[in-house]
Amino acid sequence: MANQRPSFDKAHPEHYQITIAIGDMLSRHGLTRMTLAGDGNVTAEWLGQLKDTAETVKQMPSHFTGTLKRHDPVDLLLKASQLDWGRQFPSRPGIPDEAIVVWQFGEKGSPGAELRVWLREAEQDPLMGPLLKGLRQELAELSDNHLYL
Amino acid sequence: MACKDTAGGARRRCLEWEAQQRRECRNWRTEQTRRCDDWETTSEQRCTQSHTEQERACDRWETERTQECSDWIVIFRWLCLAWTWVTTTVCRAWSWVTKTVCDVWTWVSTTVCRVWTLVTTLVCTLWVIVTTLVCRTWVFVLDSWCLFYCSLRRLFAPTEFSQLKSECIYGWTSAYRAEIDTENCRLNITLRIRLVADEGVSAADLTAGQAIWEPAIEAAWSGQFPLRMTDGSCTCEQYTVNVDVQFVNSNEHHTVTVHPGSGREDMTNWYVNTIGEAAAHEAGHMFGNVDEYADSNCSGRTVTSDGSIMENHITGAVLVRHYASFANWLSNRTCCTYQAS
Repeated sequence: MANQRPSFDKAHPEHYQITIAIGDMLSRHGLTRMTLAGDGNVTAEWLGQLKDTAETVKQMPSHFTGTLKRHDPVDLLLKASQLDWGRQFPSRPGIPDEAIVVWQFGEKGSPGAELRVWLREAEQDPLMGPLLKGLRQELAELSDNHLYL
Repeated sequence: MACKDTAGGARRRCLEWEAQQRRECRNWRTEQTRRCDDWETTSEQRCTQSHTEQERACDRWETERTQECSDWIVIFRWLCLAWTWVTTTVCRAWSWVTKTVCDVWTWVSTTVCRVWTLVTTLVCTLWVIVTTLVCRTWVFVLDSWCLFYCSLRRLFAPTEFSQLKSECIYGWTSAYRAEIDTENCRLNITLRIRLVADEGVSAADLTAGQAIWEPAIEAAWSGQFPLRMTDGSCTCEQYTVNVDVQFVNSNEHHTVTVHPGSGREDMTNWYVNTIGEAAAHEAGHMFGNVDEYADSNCSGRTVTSDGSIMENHITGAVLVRHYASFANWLSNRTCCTYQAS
């Protein structure tokens, strides 16, 4: 994946998408992946090994699709395009159990740019933080609080 | 073997060595003195016996010669008696000389024997003194080394314990307060946590969280395994671990940010909905334990499946190995070796 700053054409947001994947399929919280397309369509899925009871597995859906409710997709994609895509990982040792956030941004169908960052760094980053917060709000609504980033 | 035991053993061996060597020296002197006395007695008897025989021979000679002289005519008898007297005198003189020489020899050889006994006893005593001195010096060196070694180990077991930990791409500081209560043979671990409310988390949320997390951590980590002494000689054969979690506003060991709702908690970030078991897992990191679940970012990690709380906080429990940090602290603090079992 190229790590140079990706271009974003605001006039044609439908050509772009951002994907955020947090966690690890093998970890106790699993991997949550959310993709936001420039047209406002959102898909989210959870991949992992539930350590809880079998009943919980049945009750918990792991795939959701929908559209953005509270945010403007163009605004979110614009924020994504402004992230520091050249950032090196890891910038510091991780906190035990800390998840890794993988951002992917680019035109649909192309590999685009990829950025890996510790979750707490992402939350505190002035550009990444608000974007993550926005996506979390949308995911909570979309999955009825079943999934979280 | 523990340092204290080695020094104690050396001290005991020194005392045993000294006692044994002194006993051997004493036995040697007694035996040697007896030999000298025996030698003296035997020699004196031999001298006396020889002298008696010699005297008897002289007497016999005199008697026989006197009888022979009586058969001679007068003029020759006198000459014969004179000759007899002279030879008998020479015989007695010889007897006296040999007796004297024999006595002198007895005295000289006995004296040499006694001097030898004295000298060897002296050498033996000196040997005991020197070796005991060397032994005691060695014990002193061992004691000093023990004192130094134990003091050094103690530095690694401060009451306010803090240690940098790392695993793969993770790094953190394990910190807690540890105190030993030798009266009740208890190791008291205090974990002071300062909770910081993230946006959207109320004081009531924190209070509710504390009510769940504190008992969960304490129950999971207290008294699971005794820390047994496997080497050394310390007051307590075994210690019971007692964990006390305190939520504080200052002087904390760890700061935990509490976020609203649910999420991916880590050691220093919990959520209002974080369950007690998860808090107990995170406390495990605070005590210095590493994760034991599979992590694609940490290929070298030892993944376990023996019901460990560090692998699965829901179904897992604290296991013997998770007390390693406590056992290590206790060992360093007491200079005895303790192991969880």
